[in-house]
Amino acid sequence: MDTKSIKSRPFAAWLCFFMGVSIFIFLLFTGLSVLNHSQWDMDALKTPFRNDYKSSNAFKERTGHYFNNLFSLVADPSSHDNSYQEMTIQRLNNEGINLKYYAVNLDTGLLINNLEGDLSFSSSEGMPVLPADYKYYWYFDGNKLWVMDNGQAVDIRRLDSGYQNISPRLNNISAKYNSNSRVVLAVKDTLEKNPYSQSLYYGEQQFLAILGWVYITLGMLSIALLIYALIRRRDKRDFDRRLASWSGSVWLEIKIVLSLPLLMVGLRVGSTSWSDLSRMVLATTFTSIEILLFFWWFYVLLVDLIVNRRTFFSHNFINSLIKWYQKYESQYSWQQSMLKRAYMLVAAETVLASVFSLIIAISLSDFVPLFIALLIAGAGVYIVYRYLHRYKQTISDLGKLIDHIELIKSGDMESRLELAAEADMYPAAQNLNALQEGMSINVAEKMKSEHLKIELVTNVSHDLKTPLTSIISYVDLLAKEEDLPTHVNDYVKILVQKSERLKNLIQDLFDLSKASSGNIALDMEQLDFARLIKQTLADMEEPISKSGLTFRINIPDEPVYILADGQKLYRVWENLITNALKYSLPGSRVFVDLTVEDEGVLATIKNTANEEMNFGEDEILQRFVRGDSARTTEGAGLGLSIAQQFTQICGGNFSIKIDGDLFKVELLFTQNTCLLQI
Amino acid sequence: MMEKQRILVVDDDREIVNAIAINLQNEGYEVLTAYDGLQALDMINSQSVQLIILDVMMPRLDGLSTTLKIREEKNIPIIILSAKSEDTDKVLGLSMGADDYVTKPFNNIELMARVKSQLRRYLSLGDINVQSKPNLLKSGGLCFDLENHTLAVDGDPVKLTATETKIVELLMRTPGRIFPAEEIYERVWEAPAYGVENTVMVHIRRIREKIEINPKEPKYLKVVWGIGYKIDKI
Repeated sequence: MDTKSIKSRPFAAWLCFFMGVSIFIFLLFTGLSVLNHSQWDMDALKTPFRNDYKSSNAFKERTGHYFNNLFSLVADPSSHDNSYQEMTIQRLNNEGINLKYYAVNLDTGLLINNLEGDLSFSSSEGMPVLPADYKYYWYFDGNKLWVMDNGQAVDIRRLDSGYQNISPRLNNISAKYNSNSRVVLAVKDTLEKNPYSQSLYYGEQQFLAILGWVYITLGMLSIALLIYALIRRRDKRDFDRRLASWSGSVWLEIKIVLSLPLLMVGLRVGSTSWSDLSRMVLATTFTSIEILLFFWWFYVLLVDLIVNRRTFFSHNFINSLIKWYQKYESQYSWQQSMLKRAYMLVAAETVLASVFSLIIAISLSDFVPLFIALLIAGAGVYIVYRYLHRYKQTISDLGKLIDHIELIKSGDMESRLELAAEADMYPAAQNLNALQEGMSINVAEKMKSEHLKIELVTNVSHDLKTPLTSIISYVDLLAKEEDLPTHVNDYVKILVQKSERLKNLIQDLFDLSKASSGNIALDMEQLDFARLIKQTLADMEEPISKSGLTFRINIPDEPVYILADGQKLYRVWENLITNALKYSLPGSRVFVDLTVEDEGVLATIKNTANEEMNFGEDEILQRFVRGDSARTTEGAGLGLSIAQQFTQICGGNFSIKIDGDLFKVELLFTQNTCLLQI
Repeated sequence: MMEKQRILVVDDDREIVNAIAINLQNEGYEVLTAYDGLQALDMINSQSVQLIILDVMMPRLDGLSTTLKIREEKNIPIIILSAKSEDTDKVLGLSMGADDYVTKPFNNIELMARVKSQLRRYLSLGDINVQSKPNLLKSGGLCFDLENHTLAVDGDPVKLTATETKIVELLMRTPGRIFPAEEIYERVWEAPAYGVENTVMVHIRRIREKIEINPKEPKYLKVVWGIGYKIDKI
């Protein structure tokens, strides 16, 4: 199947529907018009199908028309000029032998006649004597109008006589001119073609003969088209939708303005009338076209409404203007567009206010200008309302934006800021979301790499521990040998010490890497920091007393509560004290203080170094990581680094201060993380 | 004289197995060796074994699965050996049915002490008299006799001073409860407590050295840092 036929199929189906409905409406309207014209005589509908012209209303009306013209020529000759008289007679003569007439005014002697010789009247009834094949005639005897058909008088006043449209007119005439006029108009029994001119009687007879077939054909065509459209209703609906998309692009205001004259057409329909058959067809056809225009216009609007629903109303001039303005505004930066909006408001209000006051000034009493003035005032209020509405929305969006930035700052990487696409803050929100997305991807990647790092360290430390286990075990066995030379015994002692040190280093490395990645299980609880330090000092009492150093301890007796992991914080203090024991000048003092400051709980440990500290405050924590010169001497291991990491994961702040030979470590737990004095 | 106790040592590292075997033989035990979990299961089924030392990471069948298999049928004490030193790993091993957990690299003396401790408990389990006595406070291998005010660890009596005995009794009467130093001092010394953390801690450390195999990693008497001291219900 080629695409062209698929594309055109909806249109074909729709066209069938369109033609079918149009023809149907045309026929329906024609029928209704005929009925209305014949004053709801159902017989009038049968006329085109009976093929009997002489009994049709059209024939009666045409005859009445001729008679009326003829009558007015003789009864009131002064009101017509010669050309009218000639034209009327010419029209009568066009019928040729189909029409015999005789009209005389006894007062003036005016005679219009196409009979051979004078008209004779039968002695018994007083009716005119006409040739034998003219059995249908009209006759005005100066008093009364007779319509004779085949020797019988027709009662033209009867509603079903077919003369109901003609008789009032004729009655009126006869009453007005109760004179000496005598008018006879006879129609031939079988109507014939006039070879010299056009006989309207003959023409109408022929026309009537095919009119029935035309109507029947149209009716059947209409039914066929409608059936086809019904079968192809899906295609038809497709085209309806296409139609709706076209009509949808037209502003609502235009639709309303165009609908108004069409509504007037609809109201005018009832007043259709005509005087003969051809005019009837013409009149009904033209009026039908008007009706169809009206019908299809509202059909399109209805489809538009059904398909487009809300946009049917929302696509209007005002909205388009607003959209256009928004587009115009979007060319500028946010600050500029906000300014422009304010200027625009002031400008619009100024213009409207001036026009308003001008109109008010022009006419204080007239209704129409007053109405327009009110309309303008309404427009002014509407613009202010729109502006304030938008302003409020923008402020609210700005608030959301600020809140969202706050949210991101606090670590929320999941939620996104959703604003309406036409909002002023929309681009900013989109950018913020993109930033957030980028951040969350970075964080995820970082987490992943940290996780890999942990796995690596775990595996490496496991792989280091296995051979180390053998070394320690066999060194231990070696140490148990009794008959070793003394110097070998010394070697073994060194092996024991160093393998022990290696074991501690591996464990420290493992702990440190876990802590620095934050991937460590914490058991946070409320604990007494003062007690913890006292416990640690008591726990290490032996090495402390052996060291020969003096510990100056200044810790409050009352509890100092903080939220921390006790085990981790113990490791911190154990490492800090060990560090002080190792690197203090012999005989010097170590100061341990715990104070509650405004900003939080501050714990410090100070000692005097036994060697000059030729390294920075950061270097001491990072020398293992950085691998600089400090590594060459046997360092403090990872003790301080672990102390720092463990303090941080407990929510504390760890800092080292070096001032000459004074080495000072400060641990600060801020109010956020601790609960004081409970 | 009792028959020699038989110990199965399982590790995929042959040198470690060998070193442990030498140490165990020096202590007078008979040693069986296996190098993976399936081999270990075969040995247990074919011979009577009184204790198993089991590595975690092994080919074919790992230590934890082996533990589960053994526990389906047998109640033999199992000491897990592992390079993993995390608390969660220990808890996992113990929950699988192991009786003790030793991290690599281990100290030989400590391992031997743990072997002894487990064997003593396992073999004295049939001692109905110990269990049925009403005036006993028990926590794992700890057993405090309220009548005589004596403490035994895995059946071995421990010599404690009067103060130490009082502390142990206090802690064991409500196992799991954390006692601050002040409370311990007031109830043991029966004097108002002021600046007593150091005094109490010194005693705690001494008790630990007497009852714990590794005082650095205490099993019974624990310090809850920043809060107090406790003996858990085991």
